Amino acid sequence: MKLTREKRSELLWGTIGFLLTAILLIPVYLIITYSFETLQDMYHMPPYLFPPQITFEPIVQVFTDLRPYLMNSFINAVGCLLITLLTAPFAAYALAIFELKYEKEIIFSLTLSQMFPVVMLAIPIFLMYSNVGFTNTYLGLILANATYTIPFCTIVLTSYMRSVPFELIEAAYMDGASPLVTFFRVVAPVAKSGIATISIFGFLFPWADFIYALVITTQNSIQPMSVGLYKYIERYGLQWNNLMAGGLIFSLPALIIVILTGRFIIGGLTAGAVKQ
Amino acid sequence: MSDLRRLKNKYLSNPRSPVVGFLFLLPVLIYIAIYFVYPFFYNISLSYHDTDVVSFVSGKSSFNGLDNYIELFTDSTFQTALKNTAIFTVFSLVFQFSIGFILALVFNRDFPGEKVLRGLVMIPWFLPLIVSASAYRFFFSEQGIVNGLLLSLKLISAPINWLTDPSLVIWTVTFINIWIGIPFNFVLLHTGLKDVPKDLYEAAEVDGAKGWQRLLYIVIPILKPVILTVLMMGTVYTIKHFDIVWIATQGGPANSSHLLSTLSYKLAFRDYEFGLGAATANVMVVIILLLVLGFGLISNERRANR
Repeated sequence: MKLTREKRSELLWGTIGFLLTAILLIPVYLIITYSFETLQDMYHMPPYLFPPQITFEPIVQVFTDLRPYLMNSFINAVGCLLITLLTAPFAAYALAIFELKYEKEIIFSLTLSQMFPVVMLAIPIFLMYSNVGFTNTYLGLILANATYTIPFCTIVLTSYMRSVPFELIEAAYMDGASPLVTFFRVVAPVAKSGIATISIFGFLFPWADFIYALVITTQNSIQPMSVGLYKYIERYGLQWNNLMAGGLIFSLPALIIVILTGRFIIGGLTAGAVKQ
Repeated sequence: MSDLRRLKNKYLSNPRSPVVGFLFLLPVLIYIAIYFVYPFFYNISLSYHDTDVVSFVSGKSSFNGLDNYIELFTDSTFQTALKNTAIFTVFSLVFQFSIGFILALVFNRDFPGEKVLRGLVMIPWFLPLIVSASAYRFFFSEQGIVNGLLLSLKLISAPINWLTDPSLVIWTVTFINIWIGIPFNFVLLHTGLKDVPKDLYEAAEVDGAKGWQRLLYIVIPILKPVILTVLMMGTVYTIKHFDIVWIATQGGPANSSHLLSTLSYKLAFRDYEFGLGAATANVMVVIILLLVLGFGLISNERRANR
């Protein structure tokens, strides 16, 4: 059977694409297989391509040890998502639709705020929190994490909301709807893919946070999983299979979200970056 | 009553009313004021004071002018951190961008399974950094898989101290960061490539343009704005990067792998020299702003030349 030129090229590029992806994902593959290996097998030379025996011990062990941290991560990420959804969509609505003074300047400063190093914000925020007793509180951590999400999500959503047809909004006003009702009945439904996108970021950014947690939380009872894992390396430095298993558990929500919603993420990224 | 109605009519009948718009914007503005503007100025003030734990608690830190900055710039650890940040940023960007670009070109072809693979390529970027950085810490450890493979293949005779050799460690963490940043470059460039008109491409092919000629004379010029944005964002994100280095090495051994960000953290939260930490962070801010200004000038010039 002779392949057409087109088919041959598909096959060639498909193979190249597959190989490159496979190489890129080797570390991810290792994290997954190590999570089900005994320590002895991890150190076996030459390394195993497949674990010779699969054990669930690391997963069980680390889940028992670190479950409270995982819970804290959830509280932090969900809290940050809520705060983001309570603020960013309204600001985006304002920036996209209303006639505002200094609109350009506001968008510019939102963009600029994302360029600040996190550590530059973390030092004053820590001192500020120390003054008012806000360290080691969920709310303090959540609000600090919102520095990742509020400006970014506002910018991303503004570009989505610019595409809401103004006639729809006008029509709602004609019917006597208030601005808030217009927002919920007209603007939000039209911009729902944008709102879905910022919800993904609103959850994933605080989920992955490390530095604010390191600075603001010092008590076990409040620390999220990122710091839990960090302390785990320092304390049980040689238990690498447990650590990989912990990493795998911690990555699962992010991986599932990325696999399920990849196209929203890409749309959001381009809206946030390229169209500015 | 009629006053109220008039007021109501004025604000609620105009769908673009600036007053209503301002109210919608207000929560974000208040947040920005507390979490960005105030810290920004607080940090500047900190950097001109001798603020440690004692003086912070007593509220009596003394103004010391440029002392913090002078102390930093004459300190060898700071100089190393500055150099490391440059190495880390330049090499991360060059490799992330080129590998991301190659991937984008490959995925610009139609082949079965393209969408699934494209989703998988995103994974390194969305793994929480604590996970990737600590995994790499194991891969590059003395008995880790990197040394294991090299030893098995007899490419080296003794394990290499990827993360504990002061002259090597910055290159190892840069390698880790390249891996993490590839997807970001890939996604934005790939989206940009999709906007390159296909018929332009085919016309060039008919004219006999070779692959690299089409790339150089058609794709890259059209893609220029996207390329500039990717490079600018990449530069900013890389300069301020913290997690990988802190998780993999904590700036060690012997402060040899500090970036400005990890040094700033160490000064503020390990040594409790908040003034010095703030000053280090401000140096980063100045560098970032200058670079952004530079990028802005380049892209404006391009626009003006059209």
